[in-house]
Amino acid sequence: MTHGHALAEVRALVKEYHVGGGLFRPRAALRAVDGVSLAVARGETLGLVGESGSGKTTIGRCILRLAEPTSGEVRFDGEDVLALPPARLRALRRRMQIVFQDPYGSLNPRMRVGAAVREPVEVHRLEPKGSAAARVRALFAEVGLDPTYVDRFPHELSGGQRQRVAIARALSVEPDFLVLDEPVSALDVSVQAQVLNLLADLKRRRELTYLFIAHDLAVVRYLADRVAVIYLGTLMEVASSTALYAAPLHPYTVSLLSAVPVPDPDRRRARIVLSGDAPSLRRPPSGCLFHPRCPHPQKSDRCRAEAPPLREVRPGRWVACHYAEDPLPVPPA
Amino acid sequence: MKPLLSVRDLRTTFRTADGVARAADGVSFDLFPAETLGLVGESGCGKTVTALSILRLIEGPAGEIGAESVVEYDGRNLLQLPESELRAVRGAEIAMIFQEPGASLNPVLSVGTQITETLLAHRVMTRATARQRAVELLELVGLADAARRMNDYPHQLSGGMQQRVMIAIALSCEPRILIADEPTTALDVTIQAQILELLAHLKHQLGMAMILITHDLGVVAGLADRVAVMYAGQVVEEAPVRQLFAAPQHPYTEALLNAAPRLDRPADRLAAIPGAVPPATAWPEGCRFHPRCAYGWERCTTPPPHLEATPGHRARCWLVEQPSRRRA
Amino acid sequence: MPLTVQRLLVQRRAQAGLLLIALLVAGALLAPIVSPYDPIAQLDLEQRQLLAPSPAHPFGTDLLSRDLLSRVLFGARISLAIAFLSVTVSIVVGTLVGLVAGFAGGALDTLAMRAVDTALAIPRIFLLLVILGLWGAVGVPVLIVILGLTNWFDTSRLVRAEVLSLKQREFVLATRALGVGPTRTLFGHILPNVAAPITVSAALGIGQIVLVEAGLSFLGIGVRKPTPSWGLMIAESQDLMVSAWWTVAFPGLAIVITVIAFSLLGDALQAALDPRTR
Repeated sequence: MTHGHALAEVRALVKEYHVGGGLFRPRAALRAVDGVSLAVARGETLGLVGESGSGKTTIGRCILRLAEPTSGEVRFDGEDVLALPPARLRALRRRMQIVFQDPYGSLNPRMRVGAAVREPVEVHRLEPKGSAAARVRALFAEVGLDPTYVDRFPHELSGGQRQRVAIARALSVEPDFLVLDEPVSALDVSVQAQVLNLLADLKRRRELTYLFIAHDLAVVRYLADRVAVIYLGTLMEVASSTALYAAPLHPYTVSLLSAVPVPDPDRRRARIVLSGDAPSLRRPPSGCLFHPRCPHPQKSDRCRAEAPPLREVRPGRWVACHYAEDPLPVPPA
Repeated sequence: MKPLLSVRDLRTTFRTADGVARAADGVSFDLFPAETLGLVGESGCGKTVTALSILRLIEGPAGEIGAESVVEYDGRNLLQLPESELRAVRGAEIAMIFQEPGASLNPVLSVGTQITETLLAHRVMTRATARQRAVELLELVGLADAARRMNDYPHQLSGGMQQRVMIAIALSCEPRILIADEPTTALDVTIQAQILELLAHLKHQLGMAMILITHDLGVVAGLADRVAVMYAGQVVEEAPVRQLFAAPQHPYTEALLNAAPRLDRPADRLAAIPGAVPPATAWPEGCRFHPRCAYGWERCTTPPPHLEATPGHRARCWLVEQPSRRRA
Repeated sequence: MPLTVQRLLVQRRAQAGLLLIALLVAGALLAPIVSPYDPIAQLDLEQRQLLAPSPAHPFGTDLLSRDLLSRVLFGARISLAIAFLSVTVSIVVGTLVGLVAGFAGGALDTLAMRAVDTALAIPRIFLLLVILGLWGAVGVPVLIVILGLTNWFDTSRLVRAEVLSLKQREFVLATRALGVGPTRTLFGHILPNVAAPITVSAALGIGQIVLVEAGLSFLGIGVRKPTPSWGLMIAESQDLMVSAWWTVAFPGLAIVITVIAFSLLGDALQAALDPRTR
């Protein structure tokens, strides 16, 4: 695992959306992200895991300033991203890029894929006129695409190929940092593996830093050095990948891990099955956000009254639980 | 034991701008009473088309089920039944639930109405009885506060709850077979666990047979008794679940098992399957997996039939006859 | 997009519409060569007034002994030219307004759309009557511009709606992330994807404008005599509808066929471009 100072960082990030409301009702404020602080060290892959509505995608977009945070700080390589004037922001955009989940939606359906990859090169004037095409072809080869595909339209490519185009496009500006927002969730298993391998190779070769956002714990484990688990806009647990998967400390992490179906019929283990659905962000639970569904035997009134802060219970292990010292055991096989 | 449902040589085609897509191309399998058959494959393999074909839900004129295809249920070929008789089977004896529960529920009817309408369509009972039965069904599928939920509309429910409602509708007439097409793919992991647990529970309680269609090998491992793996419009391997995972005979099954990232077996590098699924308009000659197979050799240009490796375990692969070639 | 063209040409109504349009355009373009007589020449006020259709005059002659076939053919030139050009003006203006309003949002959008709403509240014929009535006799070029500038409102709403939905698509977000500026995004990414509703709008608009122009000319404030316009021809021959039916029937038929042809095409385009049937 590589160490380094934080390349991308958010502090006390809050993002509110205002919904509903009408003539007589005030608009309600939904806190999609509620005071999250995370740092991605140079050279590492930080996995950000959560289910739908957890706020993970919003965090990724706030870091790139594709969404404006309501409050909090966003720093990239020490610079305050939120305070940058448009010209500086545009220059900074070269260093951080994003790959989206939907390989079809993230490409302009009326633009040939080669042109889509060439555009950022032209916009940032990274190559003299003549050699942009050569650069595009090199990028295609690097992501495992046949360079003759440059004249194709997105609908002529498979999901995996489109995702490779999206990756090539992100790499065209030579970024240091990539936000990968569920990059393989929409792909078949066999294609997933190809793209994950590609992402691992690219990271090594280009010395990239990744923020890997996903809901699939098995996929995240493959690439991540550290993992942060998020629920309803708040971090529940942050730890190194090995530690998290071996011994999760937060009841939500434990439930999440036990819920993943394992392809082994002999391991039909007793699962922790959470009851009920995730509460709506409009009416978040009091105290600990997870308490209504928490299976921890020591759950108490304290959990309902007091939201546990994210604290470092052991070096490098952060947990937001009052009873983290006495974690829920992972159900045996 | 006689099979409850027998699919034989199912061929379903679609006319597309690029030619005829042979989505299901000679699919055959049996479903026995009270067993869960997992139908596994990636997108484009024909599993959903197969399910829709069983209930003759394929839309013409573009889609067509081949005349020689047979879906035998209760001594009759469902594909040849007059529409009125088939309607009596659909929903009442063979029910289906789909991937996107939100899209399958009528947004302008309350949940209660949707269940009672299904009941009244297939059974003779008073509306009051139907409503009562509907509440019982919602409780059966684990929906909290069932009586109150009857008046809710689909959009007021979460994805997990909607799927429970779908299951309630499907079970309302006590079908003998439930076809579940990717029932948990669109749901969060923790909700998925709930729904899978519910299905397992219902399976035992109702003694229902189930065809579980999914791309997720973990889901299949947890629920299925037998598994049929599909690739390129055909079943390429069929086996009891433990045997499939312990000793897969077809290279595609093996490759699929190795390509999936697993919590229990972390890997440094995932064994990806090279290439991509060919289009249904142009299946390769010979063995359809042959262009991507790690073991392929000249014999593979002849399409292999199903070969039995051990009783109850068959695969469409010449390796079954020549296991010595099974060296990467 | 050859696929869309394929989907279009497969439809019977597209084939019918395109065939009719081809005939009309051919007639209009070749009018000077093909028409047997000069459209404004009064051939023989004694002998050739109001002749019924015959081999010498397939469409007959009018009150001033002018050959109707020649007048209908030249009328096609005028009517189609006015329609194509004014629709071009309205499409260009409407698209620009829709693009900018939809993309910029905020106050600019509100301002533009309220202005459009206001303009739409005024019945178009009324508006045209007022403008043309006050202005007096206008040449065809000015008429084209006036028609164009009074017809762009629907297009702008259509385009704006499309832009609003496109703005939410991930590929637009991606261009922002890549540092592509708003102008380039608007014209390089959003505009090509708005082509669909614009094309449909244009096709249907042409048919509409032919009708509007015919109406205005009929009322005497559109194309002025002696320039042959179908509407004008009908106006001149109103009283002769029963006694010399051909003087009204053929120009009327020409209008009807034109409108039908473009409606068929517009309909077929809409079906071909509909993403749901893809």
